[in-house]
Amino acid sequence: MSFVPPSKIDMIKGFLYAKGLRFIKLNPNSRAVAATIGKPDYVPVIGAQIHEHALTVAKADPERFFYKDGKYCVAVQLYVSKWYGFEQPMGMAPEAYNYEVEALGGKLLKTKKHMPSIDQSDPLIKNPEDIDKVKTPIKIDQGRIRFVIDSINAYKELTGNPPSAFFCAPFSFICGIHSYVRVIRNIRKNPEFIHKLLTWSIDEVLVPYLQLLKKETGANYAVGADAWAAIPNVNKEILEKFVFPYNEKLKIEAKKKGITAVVAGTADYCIEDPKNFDPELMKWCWYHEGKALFGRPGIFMGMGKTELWPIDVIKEFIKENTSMFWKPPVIASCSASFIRDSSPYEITNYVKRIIDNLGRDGHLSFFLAQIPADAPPINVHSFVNASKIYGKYPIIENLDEIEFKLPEFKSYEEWYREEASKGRAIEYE
Amino acid sequence: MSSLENDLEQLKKAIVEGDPDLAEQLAKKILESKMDPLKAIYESVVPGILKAGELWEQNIYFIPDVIMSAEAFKSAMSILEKSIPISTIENKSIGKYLICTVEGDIHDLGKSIVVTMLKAAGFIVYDLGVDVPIKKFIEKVKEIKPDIVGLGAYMSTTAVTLKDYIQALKNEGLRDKVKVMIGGVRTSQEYANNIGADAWGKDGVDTIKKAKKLMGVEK
Repeated sequence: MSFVPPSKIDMIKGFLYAKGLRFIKLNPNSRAVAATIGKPDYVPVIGAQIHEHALTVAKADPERFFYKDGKYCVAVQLYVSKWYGFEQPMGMAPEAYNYEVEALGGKLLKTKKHMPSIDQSDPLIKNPEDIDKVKTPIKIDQGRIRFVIDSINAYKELTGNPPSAFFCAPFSFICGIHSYVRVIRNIRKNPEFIHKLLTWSIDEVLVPYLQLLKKETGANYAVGADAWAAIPNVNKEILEKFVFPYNEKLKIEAKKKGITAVVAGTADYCIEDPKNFDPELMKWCWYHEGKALFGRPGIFMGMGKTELWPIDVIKEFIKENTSMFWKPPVIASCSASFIRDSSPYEITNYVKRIIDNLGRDGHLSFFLAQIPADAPPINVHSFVNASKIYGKYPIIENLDEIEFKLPEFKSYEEWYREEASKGRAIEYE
Repeated sequence: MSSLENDLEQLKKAIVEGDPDLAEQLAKKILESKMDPLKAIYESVVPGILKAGELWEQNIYFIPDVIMSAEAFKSAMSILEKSIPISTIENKSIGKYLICTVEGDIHDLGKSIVVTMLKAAGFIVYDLGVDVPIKKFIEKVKEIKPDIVGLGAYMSTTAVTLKDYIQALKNEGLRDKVKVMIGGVRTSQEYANNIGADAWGKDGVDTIKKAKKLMGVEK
């Protein structure tokens, strides 16, 4: 799985390297492939969800970043990601839950300095009859769709990677257009309407929207965000009846239009208190979230307190789902509060522990699912640094033999000036 | 069990199981029977929502279940509260709690659950809403004189401003007169300690436990 659609050549290179052909030179995309199916050269930190943090580090203009300039928004994220050394810098229009609803006329609560949110108290579809009043499909001049298109094109231009679209997954979309509380209420009181709303969202809104993005950017790969469908926002029953079938329908309908759609965040296990961790439910979530991302069981550590997840349960899951042809990969992460509030030493030790326990045979990469605005940059650098030092294959027997050192790095401002002077960054001001 | 006792039991059940329509109907029926609405609140409505909170804590309930219980709680309370003089409510309360989300933050869902739980726990709650600037917050603290203020921040870009609200309380000479709690997905106990808050509310249930502790009514 990757947030960048791997080219066929990267797929082949990554596959062959993982199968033992070590003379092949990996690039970030083929390394991500190799890390999914076996051993790359080192455990990569693929990327991070970084928009709020990037905004702060780069001292960017929030209004321009969120509302006005899609290219600027992407560039800021890409440069901060490159400064940290992420393999596949993520640069996307950050409001995965807002754009479609806003374009259809939904009300957003906006502030100049912060990311806007959908007004959950005043949704566009309040009652079942409102669905007929919403004009579909989404058009290019509605809401901030041009901003989204500019951001996808900018990503393509600035990275040279194939374009990748982002969208709101069906369940999360209806939580925006009908409000989460109303969705939950109607799941009990009027489930037929929720089924109708989900079907409508796929057929009338999301698939045509993906077609529009494909037409304007060439993106035939799209990643859907589905945080509303995380545990405990929903339970197993809701996932089985109202989420999984519709993600599957979306994938099928998108495929018919030549678009590969994957969904991230569905069934993400976000119970926070370790005393409430339920190993069986965790495994069930990993199975389903992995299937959505990889097509087979795998562990994607999303937005939960993943640094507290029991390693033994993860190992059990991997063992139970390993076959002759597949070993569940792990995309490991840590929570926003951990990366913000821990010391570089604690962060390094966490990365070391994950590599020691889960990375010796490959099938491991990292993706920082959330870096908050005020996370100290030294913490993020420590994370990336630790992954490269402790995760170099073959991994040594006793990782404690490697002495802990604080990472050395230039300030962002200095780094950016140098990049710009070499023509590797756009100067905006 | 008498018919009225049965209604009280059913009302509690409607709240635990999250049936707002049934909770409203039963609350109306209880009022029509001339029963003291406070009895219904203290024997059915409050135990109902607290039971839902317990089930949440035990990991049996998920957020949808809590939301529906909160909806049922609000339905019943909206009927029953109308028949109770404000002075009675004030006399029975354990303290005044002023709550809002900080400027730039417009997330309401978590706060609304916390407000419901605080009311159930016996606090008089003053909900200033979302996106509340420091100036307005300070004005309201001066006007209402709450025992506790609760500040919510749900994005990392807004969580960084929590310390500014605490500093503003200090600047106005109010910090020693009010306890400060913080909450929201981007906060933690460590974060609360770092910025000088008195407590961190992890969720609705945790908030009422810590708020009661701050008021000295629960150890």
